[in-house]
Amino acid sequence: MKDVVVVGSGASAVNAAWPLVEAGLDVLMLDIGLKDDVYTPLIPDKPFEEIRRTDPDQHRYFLGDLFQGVPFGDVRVGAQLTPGRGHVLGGATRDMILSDVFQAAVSGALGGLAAGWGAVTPPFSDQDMESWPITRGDLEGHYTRVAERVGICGRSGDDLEPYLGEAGYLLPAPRADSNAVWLMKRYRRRRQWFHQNGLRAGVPWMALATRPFRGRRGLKYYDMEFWSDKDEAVYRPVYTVNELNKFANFEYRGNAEVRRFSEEEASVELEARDSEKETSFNVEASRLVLAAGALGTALIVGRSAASPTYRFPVLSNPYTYYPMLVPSFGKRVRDRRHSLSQILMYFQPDPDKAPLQAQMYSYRSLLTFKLAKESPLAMKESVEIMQALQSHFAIIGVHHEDLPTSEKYLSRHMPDFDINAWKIDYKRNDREERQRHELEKRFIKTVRKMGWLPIRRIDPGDGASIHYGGTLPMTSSDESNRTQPDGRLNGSKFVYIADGSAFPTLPAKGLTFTAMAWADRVGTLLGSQLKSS
Amino acid sequence: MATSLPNPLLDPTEEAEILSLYLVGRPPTAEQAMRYAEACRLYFFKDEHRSKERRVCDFVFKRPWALGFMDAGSAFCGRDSLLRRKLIFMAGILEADVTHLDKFLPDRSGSWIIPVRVALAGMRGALKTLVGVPLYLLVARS
Repeated sequence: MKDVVVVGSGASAVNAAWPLVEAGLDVLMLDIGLKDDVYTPLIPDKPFEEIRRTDPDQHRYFLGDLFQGVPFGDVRVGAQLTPGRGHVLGGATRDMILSDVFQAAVSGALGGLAAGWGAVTPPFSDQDMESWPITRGDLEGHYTRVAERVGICGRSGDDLEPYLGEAGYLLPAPRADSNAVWLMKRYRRRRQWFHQNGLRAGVPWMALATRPFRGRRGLKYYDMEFWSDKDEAVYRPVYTVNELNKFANFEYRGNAEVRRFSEEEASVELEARDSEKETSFNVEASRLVLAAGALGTALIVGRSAASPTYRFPVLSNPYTYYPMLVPSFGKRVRDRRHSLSQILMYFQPDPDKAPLQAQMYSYRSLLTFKLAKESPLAMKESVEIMQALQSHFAIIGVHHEDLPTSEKYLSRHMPDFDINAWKIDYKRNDREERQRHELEKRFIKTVRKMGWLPIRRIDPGDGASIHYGGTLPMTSSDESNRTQPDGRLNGSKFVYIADGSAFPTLPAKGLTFTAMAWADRVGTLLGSQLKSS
Repeated sequence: MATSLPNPLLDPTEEAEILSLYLVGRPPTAEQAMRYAEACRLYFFKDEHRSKERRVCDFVFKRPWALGFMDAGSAFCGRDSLLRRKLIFMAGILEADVTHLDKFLPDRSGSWIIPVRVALAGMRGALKTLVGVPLYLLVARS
């Protein structure tokens, strides 16, 4: 019998496993563990432009052998995922999640959704956690431990301090690209005005090794972050799995889809499916830690413990893209750059209302024809225009907070039948919708003063942020299908929730850093509890 | 009894040549033409038998001079049309190669000439749209 089984290998799972392994417990990680063996080995460890100029095989990983990198139709969930990262979405479960209104992604990848994330890591503030039964103070030490594990870069004490706080663990901020330098110069010139109007801009905190870090080489400014991880600068949970594998008391088992659990007198029994051999197997453990992502974890609880008619709440940060033009003509554009977020902004014109978070990305390494496709002009002229403008092109991704309501939930599609189909109903109420649009409109009006020109608004639909949470929200009460502040699932003795499922709300911030800190807290508390018993 | 499907419009490698000459002013390499043929096999075979799509492609590939106008027309009122998808595929294939870098690699000069280039291309595109939209609608509905 294992001391602890951890389900999943994403950002939460590995950070829950780490303190358990460090405590000397016998830990088994069960995971589907999909990875890309086709495209990743083909990608040279060279800068984007050099690859473009020299590699005759580039079509294979830029377009995909089945041309899956050629986009059609409207912008969809995971539109930024390149052929080498296609495995990140899907493949996690045999269950179907049906929805006409919500794009649900459950990852079966080694490293989970963080195998393809943008790595922005703002910590939550006390205001963000207002309705939670724990405070920022309860996570403080865990943020630090996670940062020391994954490497967080940024700048303490810039204009974003009211939202991000200060930290001693930050690695140096990466070099900004020409667009960001131009925009920030204009922001600083009118800083007071921006502050009075509720806009603050600064350097994003990111899970990015800007110098060699725990065996990773560090950022090389190759502008290839959308395509590969050759410099291992962006944090991927697989690095922690590799480190964990060096411990004798840790075991990783791939091709394992956990289907359900049942609790015995003194242990928990797990039923899993070997996705390669198509066989079932059972594992017994003292404790079970679920960290398969907010939707994946809810499905496991739903198959195991919840009533067939139970509705799991679902949260997902509403997300909008704004392609923008940065008219910084007259100066040569810097070639050596990274493809990650260049500027992070918070916009909160009314201090009593929630802010929005916006990240600015310069667009270059995702190829010209994809931009040209979005133009209303002929392809030939569009390519010409986009080639000329691409270095001055930026995307702003806007996130809003999400709060639970009775109209956002995951439930069994046909509760009377034993069919593994689920549905998500997700509808924001009029007040939420109105606030979102008004706030965005004011934001765009304000950022225009920084000099950039918005081209259009793209709403990829609900769920497209791939920021999910709140399916088993944290509470101090004993209500079923809720999570205790120490991570234990209400109604169970041995099952713990260590991912964003436990978040009662989703503020307008990337949630992964807090999910990792929460996982570290759950693992640390459980580790000391098991050690003392 | 199995129904026989009509033959594809043109040999895909001939289509590739027409599209490449239009997009970058040069013929495709043999590999690029092969990639385009593979894309046709994977994605376009069914659509080529829909009458409206077939009419538009038939018209264009028999009259390559009209491709610019039909490209503009499809960008405006046939964004998911077969012709538009063929153009997107061909642009992707031509871009993901070392042969036409001058047509695709981002301009990093930061030069003030860029807005002028953009304005000229934009005007040309707009004029093509003015002619292309009615032509596209006419061909698609005829």
